[in-house]
Amino acid sequence: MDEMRMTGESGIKEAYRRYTHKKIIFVLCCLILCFVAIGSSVTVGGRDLSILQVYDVIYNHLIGMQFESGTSEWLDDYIIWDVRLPRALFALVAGAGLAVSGAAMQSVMKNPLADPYITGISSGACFGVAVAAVMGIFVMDGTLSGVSVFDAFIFALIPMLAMIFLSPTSKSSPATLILAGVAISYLFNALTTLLLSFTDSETLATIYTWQIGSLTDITWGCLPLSLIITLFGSVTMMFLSKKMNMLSMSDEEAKALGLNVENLRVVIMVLVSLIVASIVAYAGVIGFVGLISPHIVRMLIDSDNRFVVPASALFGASLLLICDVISRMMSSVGSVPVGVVVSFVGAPIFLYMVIKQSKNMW
Amino acid sequence: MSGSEQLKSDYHLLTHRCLLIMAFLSVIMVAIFIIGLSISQYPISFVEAYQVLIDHIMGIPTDTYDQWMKDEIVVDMNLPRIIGGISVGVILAVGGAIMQPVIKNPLADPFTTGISSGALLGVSIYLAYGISVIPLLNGDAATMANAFLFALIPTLGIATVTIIKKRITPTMMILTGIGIMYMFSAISSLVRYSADPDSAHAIFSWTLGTLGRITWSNVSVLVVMAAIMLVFGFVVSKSLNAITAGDELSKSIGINVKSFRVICLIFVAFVTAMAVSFTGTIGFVGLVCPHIARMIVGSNNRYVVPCSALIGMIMLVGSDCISKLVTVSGIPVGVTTALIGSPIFIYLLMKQKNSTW
Repeated sequence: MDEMRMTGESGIKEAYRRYTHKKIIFVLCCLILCFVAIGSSVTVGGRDLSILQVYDVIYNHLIGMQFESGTSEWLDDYIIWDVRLPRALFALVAGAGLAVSGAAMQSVMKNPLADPYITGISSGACFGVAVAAVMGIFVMDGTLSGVSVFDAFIFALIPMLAMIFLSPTSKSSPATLILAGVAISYLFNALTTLLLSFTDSETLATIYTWQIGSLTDITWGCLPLSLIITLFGSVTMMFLSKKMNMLSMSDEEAKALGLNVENLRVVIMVLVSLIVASIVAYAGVIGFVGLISPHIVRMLIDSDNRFVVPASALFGASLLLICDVISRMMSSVGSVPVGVVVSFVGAPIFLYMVIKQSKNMW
Repeated sequence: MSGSEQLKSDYHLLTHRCLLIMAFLSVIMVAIFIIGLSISQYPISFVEAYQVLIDHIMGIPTDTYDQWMKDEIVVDMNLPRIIGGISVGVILAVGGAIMQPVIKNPLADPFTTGISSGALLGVSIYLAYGISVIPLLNGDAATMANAFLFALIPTLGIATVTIIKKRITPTMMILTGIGIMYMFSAISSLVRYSADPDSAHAIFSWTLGTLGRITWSNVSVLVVMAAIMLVFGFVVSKSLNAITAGDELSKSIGINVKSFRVICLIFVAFVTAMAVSFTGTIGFVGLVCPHIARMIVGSNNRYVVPCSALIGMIMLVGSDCISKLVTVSGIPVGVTTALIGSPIFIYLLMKQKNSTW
């Protein structure tokens, strides 16, 4: 009898180990993919450098080697260090941040159509940029001005404040929160349209570019804010992932297990808003990554959030990095924004997986 | 016995209440119609508008240029625009009321299957490159034909996938649509990107959504479509109730859930695509009206369908009147709807006692 229980127990343990084993391997694969993607991202570009040369250049820079300006070494150093590396790192941060946010939003809102922008973050940011554009401070020396970044960040957080304000009165039903978010985003979109109908075609074109999402203007200056916020947010969400798992039950059941459902929702929403606002402010609205990365990951390793969150982060980062490489290979001047490439590359993969998928996730 | 009588009287009370609410909404609608006829960018008084209308009906010829102008404005601009607005309001609101239970998602609206992105792509390739799907068309006709035909592609994609796959949840159906939608949006972005600023501007204006393109020559199509949509909504409302209660339950009472879903999707897509090709994408109405309807009449779809149809008309025609009043050039109706509708909707969300989802 005792022995039987023992084997039963070890059988379960064995099964659980196998269950986690597969997922851990998947996460590791994503990690490797991520490294390969970064490697190729700093290698691909107008100036032909092999991957070894690239690492040589990075190493030289790190040990503090100085080059005379104008020499070919100096040029290599400049291109790698000041153009490609910040862009690659930002793509990494943005992809990871968006995908984690998407995964969290989908499980917290219990809605597979939720993406990081669902609560109106992107429309808030768009409005901020439009305000800056109409005031004529949108572009300075061909790059986004600090003011418009600041505007985008601040306005992106307004919907979040509204949601926090609303959540106690909404009985915290996820559907109500989402609908409120959607209403807020409609409101901001309407205001943006109103502002834009007074501007000329040129400004409109610039704002369009911003809306699609582009990594062209990324410099080192863009990194600290988004890196810190995304890192902090993602790590916190990793810690919260067990609680997010509990949310897959009904709210009542989760409450019975001692989970403060309302607070968890608000905390996740705040984290997502901060992460996404810090990314949107610099890179514009890069869609699709946040929506499909968690879905693809879930199709491959099921919906245990302890693994879905890190795997989505790595997968999203790789996806965005690879798409950025493709967009640069297609045209060196950045005329094909990365947001477009993400849709082109991501949509067929996503469709293929939906069709092949034998079990239904939602 | 007394229990069942209690139940019966409760039910009658509920029915009574719903009918009262609908009667009230109808009165508001008629009032908006009557007032709306005189509202335009031009100074025509309420009484004058009816004078002109009666003259027109009686066949009294217009002698002066001033009178002719007023006749033109009231009879040829305002009237078709209001009738068109009512039709589009019905199409979008009922479309949303059907889509939400069918897909089991409160975020669904008539455009969820990718209709707007398809239409946008069709319009973009015509305005930027002059490619018309139906040869020999040009101008507005080509834009409309392109919009209509492209709008249907994502839905057909969903239908194909649904038929190929044996088991598929509504969410997977929609995610298929979203995949196609993003691909279309990406192509539209590229087109817009490569187009010259003026074409880009034309595409932008098309996306705004307006009732201004509705004239007597095309309003009849919209009216017919709206009527068909309303009838369809009534016919399926019982099945919608069943499907809300669960797929298993619906199967047990003899509904083929999968084909019911596909039929609803294709039907809504067809009618909405028709409306979109005339007006551009008018968001918000299709999403919000069914929710408001559910808040006030409960979730019985037999009442939700007519009630959201009424709210849709009121919202769209009312907003259109307001946008005509506010500025001379006229704010696009989609903007006004969202500006006025969102605060009201958020207020209602806060007020509601228990979520219907």
